[in-house]
Amino acid sequence: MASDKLIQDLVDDLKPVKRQMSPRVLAFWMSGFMLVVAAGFISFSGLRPDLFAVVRKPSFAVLLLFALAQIVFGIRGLGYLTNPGRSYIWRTIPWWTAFLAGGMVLAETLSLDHDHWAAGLDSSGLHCAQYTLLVSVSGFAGLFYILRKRVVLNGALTGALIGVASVASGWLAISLVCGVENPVHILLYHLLLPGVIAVAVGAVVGRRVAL
Amino acid sequence: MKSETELKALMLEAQDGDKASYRQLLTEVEKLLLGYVRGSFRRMGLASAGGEEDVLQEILMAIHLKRSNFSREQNFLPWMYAIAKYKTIDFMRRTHRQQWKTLVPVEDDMLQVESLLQEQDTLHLDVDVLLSELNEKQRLVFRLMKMDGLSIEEVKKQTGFSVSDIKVTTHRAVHALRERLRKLGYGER
Repeated sequence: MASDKLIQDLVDDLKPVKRQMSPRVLAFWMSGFMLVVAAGFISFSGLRPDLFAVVRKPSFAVLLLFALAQIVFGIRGLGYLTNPGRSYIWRTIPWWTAFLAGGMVLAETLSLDHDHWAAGLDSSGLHCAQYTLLVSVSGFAGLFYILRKRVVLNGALTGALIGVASVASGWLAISLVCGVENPVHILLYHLLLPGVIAVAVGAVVGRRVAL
Repeated sequence: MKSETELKALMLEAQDGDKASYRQLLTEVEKLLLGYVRGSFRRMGLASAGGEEDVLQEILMAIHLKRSNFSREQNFLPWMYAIAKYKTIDFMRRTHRQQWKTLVPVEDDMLQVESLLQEQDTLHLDVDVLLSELNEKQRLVFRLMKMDGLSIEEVKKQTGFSVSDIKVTTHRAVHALRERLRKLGYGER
């Protein structure tokens, strides 16, 4: 049987390997790394002047909490997703937090008048989308680097999850930097545009690292 | 047949570089996997299409390449079967997409790749383009072994790679070239 020869070759090729970090450890280090990168960008751009006033608003605090949960649960979910045969009960949390954050801001936009919509859709907000994506890039690249060594069974899903998890660090940073309160601006340029781009790019790149 | 606990112990020893345990592990899982793959093919009505051995080898290679991913806290069989399931479905998807009538047995891969390379003028294949799919090490070993016709010992002397390294590198190079040739439409012969 041809497999016998292959087995012989594989045995000959055997070298001791370093075991990969567990999903919990991976989540700890990668979340820390992404938060440090976000903090670096924030220190470079400067905090928004009204931060201490706005952070008391429940909706703002909830958005920050969602972004944090998205990072931590997203990376931990990735750890399990790329470790075949293991299940993770909280694996859908990053998706829910992303949808809830978007839904929350969308609900705020529905009560706005025409002028607010026009101001929110102003293309100058593209800077915020660029900033959000820029902050996300290092986490995105770092997770894909780690992923190459893991077992990726569903490349598109795994890549999309990387997109969701890494874009959350951008959301976190832009919320602390940008002083624009218009919900249309926040929904479009902080959440939606960078989120869709990160998930789409993640899904496309993810297909290339599948087992 | 070994139990889950025994297989897990063998895998952990293999991760530490124990070749005897690794051989025992692969021999045991080969039997399990062959049954699994045959069962999957039968359920999908592909029993007569062949290719079980091909999938089996792909699964064994995947287990080998990703062995560092297995952790002490988990069970071995669910890990192995998750990989086997993915590889089998992936193979079936490729088969369906390309509508192969017959699949090339893996034993013939080497001959097929070599003969296609020799027929390059007729097939309008550019060998350099094909070989650019390989990494530097695979390209070097493949050229020396299959195009310059050197023996393993001669390649070993020339490159300094070990015999097993040369064998595995050649196997991977052939696998990569086979995939490339199939994408180009030469896999149906």
